[in-house]
Amino acid sequence: MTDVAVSATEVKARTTPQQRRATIVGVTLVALAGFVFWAFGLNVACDLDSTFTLALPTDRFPGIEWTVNTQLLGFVVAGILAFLGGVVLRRSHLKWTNRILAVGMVFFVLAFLAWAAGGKSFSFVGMLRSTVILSVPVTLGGLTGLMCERVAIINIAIEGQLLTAAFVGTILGSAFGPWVGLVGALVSGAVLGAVLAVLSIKYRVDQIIAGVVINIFALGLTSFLASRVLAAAPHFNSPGRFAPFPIPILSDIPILGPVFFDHSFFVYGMFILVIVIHFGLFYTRWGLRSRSVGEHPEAADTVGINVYRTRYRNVILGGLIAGFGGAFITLSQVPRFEENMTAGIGFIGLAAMIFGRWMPFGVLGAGLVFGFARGLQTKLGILGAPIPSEFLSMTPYIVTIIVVAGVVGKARPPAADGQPYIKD
Amino acid sequence: MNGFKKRGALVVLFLAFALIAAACGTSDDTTTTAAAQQTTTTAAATTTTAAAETTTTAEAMETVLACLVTDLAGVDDQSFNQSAWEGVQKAIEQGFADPDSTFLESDAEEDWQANIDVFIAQGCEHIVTVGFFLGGVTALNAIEHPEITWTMIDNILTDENFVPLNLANVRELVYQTDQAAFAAGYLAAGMTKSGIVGTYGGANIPTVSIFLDGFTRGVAHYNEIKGTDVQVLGWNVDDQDGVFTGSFTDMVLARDTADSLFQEGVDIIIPVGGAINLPAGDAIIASGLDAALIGVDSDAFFAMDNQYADLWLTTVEKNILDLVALAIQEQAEGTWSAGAFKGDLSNDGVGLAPFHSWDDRVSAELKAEVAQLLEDIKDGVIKADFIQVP
Repeated sequence: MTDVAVSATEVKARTTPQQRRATIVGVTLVALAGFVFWAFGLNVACDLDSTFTLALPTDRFPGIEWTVNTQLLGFVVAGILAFLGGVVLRRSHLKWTNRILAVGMVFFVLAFLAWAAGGKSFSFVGMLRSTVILSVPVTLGGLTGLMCERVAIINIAIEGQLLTAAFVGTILGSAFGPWVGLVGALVSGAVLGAVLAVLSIKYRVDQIIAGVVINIFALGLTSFLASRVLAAAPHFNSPGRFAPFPIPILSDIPILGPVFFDHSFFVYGMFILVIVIHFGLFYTRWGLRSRSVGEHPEAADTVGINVYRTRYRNVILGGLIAGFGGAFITLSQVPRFEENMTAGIGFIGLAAMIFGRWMPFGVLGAGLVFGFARGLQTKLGILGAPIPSEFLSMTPYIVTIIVVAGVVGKARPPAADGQPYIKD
Repeated sequence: MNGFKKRGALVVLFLAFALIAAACGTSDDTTTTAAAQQTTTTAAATTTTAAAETTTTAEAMETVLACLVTDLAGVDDQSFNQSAWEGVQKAIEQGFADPDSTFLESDAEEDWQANIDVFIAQGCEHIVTVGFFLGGVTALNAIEHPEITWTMIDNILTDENFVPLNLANVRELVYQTDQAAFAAGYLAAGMTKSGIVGTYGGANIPTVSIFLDGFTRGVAHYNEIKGTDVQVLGWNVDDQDGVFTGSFTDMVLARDTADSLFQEGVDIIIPVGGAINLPAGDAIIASGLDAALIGVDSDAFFAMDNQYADLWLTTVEKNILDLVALAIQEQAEGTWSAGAFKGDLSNDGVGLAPFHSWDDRVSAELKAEVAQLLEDIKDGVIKADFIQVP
C-alpha cells in the first residue's frame, strides 16, 4: 500500500517528459506570438495589403484572389498563436501538443508569407502546388527507407537508387517509350535494393557502409555513362514524358483542383502508395510479419516466420518505390538525365522517414513539410523578400536539422534496426 | 607530398572562399574594394596583344597538348563546359592543338585538383580550367607550374587580399555579358504580353548574376523610353539578389522554379545556370503556355534538343569557343600573351543570337531598335555594363 502512495507522489512531484515538452512548446508558441506581433504587425505600414492569388493563370477559373491588410493579419495570427500557446501551457491535453504546434506553425507561415508579400501579389495556390510536387521524390524516398527499416535493414542507398532509376528510365524510355522506361526504372531500383539486401543479409556487411558504397557506385556509373554514352548519342537522352493527367471534374475545383488533381500519375501514385503501405503494415499478415521481423527477429523466427525472406522481400519492394521516384524525375518533370540530378533528395527522404516516425502518413507529412520548405525558397526570391538568396537555399536543410533534432520529440526506430540476424 | 596536399587543399579552400566573398562585395560599380581596382587591365585586354608579359612556352607552329578540366558538369552540358571543349576541338582541327588533347570531367570539387594532377603528370602544355569556381585551384597550380600555359575561364585570379595575381603563364577569359543581356532585356520587354518577364540563376556568383543584372536593366531602359511598366521577377538591381536554385544539378527544383515564375504571370524567362536552364522549357511544354525562353552562352536554338527549338526568342551568347581556340592557336604560333582577356560587343566576345523560330513574331520596328541599341552600347552611347569585369 505505502509503495503505491510513494510512487504516486513521485509522479506528482516530477514532471514527465511530455509535460516538459508541453512547457517548451507552449513557451515557444507564446514567443512566436510576440515576434509575429512585433515583426509582422507593428513593423508593417498600416495601409499595406497582401494579395494571395488562389488560381493559376492556366486554370478554368483564373483570377480568384484574397486580399487582406498585412498588419491586421499579423495581429490576428499573433492572437491565435498566443491562444494556442496558452492552451499548451495548461498541459491538459498532452497528446495534442504536436498537433497544436503544427497548427501554430501553419498560422506563423501564413503571417510570414503575408509579410513577404506586403504590397504585392503572391500565388498561394502555386505555393501549395509546388509543395505537393516537390514532396514526391522526398516522400517516395522516405517510403523506401520505411519499407527497409520496418524489417530492420537501414537503407542509406535511397539516393543511389533514385539516381540509377532516373538514368535507366531515361535510356529505356528513349529507346522504347516511357512505359518501358518506367518498368526499367522500377526494376533498376529493385536490383539495387537486392544488392543492398544480399550485402546486409547474406554477407552481413555493415549496412551503413553497404549503402554508402551503392550511392558512390550509382553516382560514378551514371555520371560516366552520361558523359561517354549519352553525350555521344543524345537521342538516348530524350525519353517521352508522361503528360499531366488532370482528373475530370475534380481538377476544376478552385484551389484544390490545381493543388491535388492536376498532375502526372506519379503524384496520385504517391498518395495511393502511402495509403496502401499504411493498410498493409497495420492490417495485413504481411505487415504484422514485417514489423515483428523488425522488432524482434528471434521471436519471429521462433513462431515460424522466415526472417531472411521477409527482409529480402521488403528491401526489394522498397527498391521498386525508389524506382518509381526516380522515374518521376526523368519521365515526368524533366525528360532527360543530368549528372547527379537527384542532388541529395534521397537523404532528405531518409530524414523524412525519421521525422515521420517510421509511419507512412508521417512520411507523407514530413515530405510535404520539406516540399514546402524547398518551394518557399523560390517564392521568397520572387517576392524579393529581404533575405539573401544564399540563406533561402539553406531553408530545407535548416528545416531538416530543426525537425530531426527538436520538433520530433522521441521517435523510436524498430528495435532491431540495423542489426544483422544470425540464425542459430 | 602529403603535407603539401593538405596545405594545398587548405589554400584552395581559402582562395575559393575569398573569391566568393569578393563576388558578394563587388557587384556594384561604386564599390571601392580591391577587385574594382582590377579594371586597370581593361583597356589592354580588349585587344589581342595584351600588355602583360609574353611567354613563349611552345616552339612556333608546333602543336600544343591542350587539356581541359570541367566545372561540376560534363563536356555535354550544352553550356560553357561544352563550348570550351569545342574550342579545344577547333584548335585540334586547325592543327594547333595536339590530336591527343583531352578533357577530364569533375563530379565533385575534390576532382579539380585530382584532374589537374593527372594532366600535369601527362605533360600537358596548355590547361584550360572552365568556370568561376576553379579560380582557387587554378591559381595554386599555375604558381606551382610556371612551365604550363593556363586558360582560366570566367575568373580573374587574385590572392587572398583580392589583389590580382597577374601570373605570367595564365590568360583569364572574362565576358562583359551584361552588354548583350541588356539588349535581351529590352527585347523581352518589347515582346511580353503579360507585362511580366522573369529570370533565375543557379547561384548568385558574378558570372551568373551579370546576365540577370544586364537583363533587368535592359527592361528598365525599355520602360524609361516607352513609358511602360514591364516588371522583372527574379532579380533586384538594388539588392543585387534574386531567385536562385542554389544547385546547378537539382532538376526537380529547377523545374519548380520555372513553374513558380510562370504561375506569377511571367511569359518570358532567361534561365542562367547550365543544366538548370532547360527545365524552364519543360515547364512551358507541360503547361501549354504561350511563353518564350532566352538562352545563354551558346545559341540555344542549335545547342539544345530539337523539341525546345520553338521556345528560344534569342540567346545571350558568350563566345567561349573561339577565344579558347585562339589562346591555343597563339601558343602554337608563339604569340601568346598572359593577362585578362575580355570579350564584349566590340570584339564579338558577347552578342545576341538570331531570333530563329520567333523571327516573324518580332516586329521589324523592335528588331531595328534592338540592333540600334547594340550599336549604341558598343559605341558607349548607352551604358549597359554596370558590373565590373576586369
